[in-house]
Amino acid sequence: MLCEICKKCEATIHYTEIVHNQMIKMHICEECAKSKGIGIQSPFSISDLLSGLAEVDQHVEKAHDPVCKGCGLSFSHFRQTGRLGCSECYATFKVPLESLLKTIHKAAHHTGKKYAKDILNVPEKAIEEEINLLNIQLQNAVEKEQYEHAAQLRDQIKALKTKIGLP
Amino acid sequence: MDLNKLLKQKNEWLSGIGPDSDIVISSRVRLARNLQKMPFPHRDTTQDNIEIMHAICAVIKKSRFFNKGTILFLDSCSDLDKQLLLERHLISKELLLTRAGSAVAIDESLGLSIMINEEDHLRLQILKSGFQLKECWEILDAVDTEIGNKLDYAYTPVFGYLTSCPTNVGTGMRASVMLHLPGLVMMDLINKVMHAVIKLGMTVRGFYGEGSEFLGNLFQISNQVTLGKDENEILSNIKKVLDLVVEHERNSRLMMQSKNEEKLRDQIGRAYGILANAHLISSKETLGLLSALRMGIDLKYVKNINKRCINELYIATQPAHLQKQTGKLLEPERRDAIRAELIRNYLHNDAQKNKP
Repeated sequence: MLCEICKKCEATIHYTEIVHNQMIKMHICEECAKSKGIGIQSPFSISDLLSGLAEVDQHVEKAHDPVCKGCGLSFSHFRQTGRLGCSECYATFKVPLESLLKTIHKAAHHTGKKYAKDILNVPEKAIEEEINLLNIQLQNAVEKEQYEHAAQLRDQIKALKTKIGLP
Repeated sequence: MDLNKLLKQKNEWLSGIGPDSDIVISSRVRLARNLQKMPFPHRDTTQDNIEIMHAICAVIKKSRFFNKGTILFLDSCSDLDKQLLLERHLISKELLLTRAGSAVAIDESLGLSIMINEEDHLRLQILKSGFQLKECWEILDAVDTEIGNKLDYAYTPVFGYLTSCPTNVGTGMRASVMLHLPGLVMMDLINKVMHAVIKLGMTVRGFYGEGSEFLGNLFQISNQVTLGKDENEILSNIKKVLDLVVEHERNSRLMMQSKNEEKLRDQIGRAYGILANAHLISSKETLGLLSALRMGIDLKYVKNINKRCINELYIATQPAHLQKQTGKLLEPERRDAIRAELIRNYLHNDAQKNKP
C-alpha cells in the first residue's frame, strides 16, 4: 500500500485519529509521519480530512461535478486543495459544505459577530426607518448648503431603496 | 517607515509583563475577512490582487488605528526584510511566497497588523504580552468594525464571514497563546498534556506557527473551531484549557524543585554561564539555553536579568535580525559569532541595569 500523503513510499504506519468524533484512518510512510510530527502535532490538515471523508461523497455524484459560477472552481478541485475560490462558492457547494463544516466545527451556523453592513439580514422596516433618518439629514445638509455631503446622502438613500425594492 | 527603525523599536508584546507572564509569553488574536464578489487571493489574477490591495490600503490609511503606522508592499521588500517581518511575527510564512499584490499594514506600537492578500483578502491580527486574549479581541473588534464599514465583506447570516479555507469560516477568528513549558518537557509530561489539549479541540504549534519545530520549549495553542461559537465562547474555551496547562506547568516546576533542586539550579546556572560567555552559538542552542534561563528568572534563582531581555533575545538572535543589524549577509558561522556577541552584550547590559 502506498502512503496516502506523498503517494510515493510504502505506507508503514497505520494511524487512527479521532477528529471531532470522526475516526480517520491514515496509512502513511515513515517520512511523512515524521514531517507530520505524529505524536504531539496537531491533527491532519483540511485536505487530508477531505480525502478521508466518505460522507462528502454521498452528496457529489461521480458524473456530476458542480462548478462555481463566480470563479469557475469545481468541487473536485476544492477537494484536492481544500481552498474555496470565492464567496459564491459557499452558495454553489452549500450541501456538501454543510456536512463538511459539521465535521470540522461540529456546527454549520454562525453565531458570532454580525456584520453591520449585512443589509439582507435587517428587516425591511429598519431599512425604511434608516431611509427616513437619512432624508432628514439630507434636508439639513441642503439647508446648510453642504452639497457634497447631500450628494453622498442621496446616493445612500437610493442604494437602500433599491435593496428593498422601492422606486 | 524604515525597517531599520522597526528593528530598534520595542515591541509591547515582548515586555514580559501581563497576567501569567511566567508561562504565557504572548497572546494573539487574528480575524480572516474577504471582500464580496471578488475571487479569493489564490484564484485572482495578479492585476486583480493589486487593485484589491490598493483599495484596502486606501481604507487602512484613513483608519484611526493606523494613522501613525506604515504600509509595506511585499514585492518591494527584499527577502531579508520579509524574513525580518516574519521573525517579528508581523507577517506569516504564507506571505513570504505570495506574488505581487500583497502588503502588510503595521501600527506604531507594532502590536497591530493587517496582512493583505495572504490566504484571505484581509488578515487582521494583534499581539499582546502575557495572557490578554480578551484585551486583544476588544481592540481587534473595533478595528474590524471600522474597516468593515468602509469595505464590503463577504458575509452571510448562516455561514458568517466567508473565508478561503472552510476551517476559518464563521467568526474567522483564531486566538492563540504562546506558552513556555520547560517544566512539562523536563518532567516528560508534555506529550500527555498536549494530547489532552488537542482532544479539547485546540491546535498545538511551534514558535513560528504551522510546520515549525518545538524549539526552546515554546508552544502555541489555538482554537480549532471558528463556526457555531461566538468570539467570547472561543476565548473562554481557550482560557479553560490554558488554566489546566498553566497549573500542570507550575506543578512540574514545583516537583522539580522539591525532587532535586541542586540539579535544577545547576542546569540554569550552566545555561546562564554559556549564554553570558560563549563566542559561538547556534540559534537552536540559544533557544534551549534561553528557556532554562527564563525558568531561572521565574523561579527567582536568577535575579539580575529581566524577562523582557529574554523575550527580546528570542527575536533579536534570529538570522534575519542579526543580518539586518550588521547590515550584510552573513555565513552561518559568522552568524553564530555575532549572535554570541549580541547575547553577551544583552545579558551584560541588563545585569548592569538591575544591579541592586
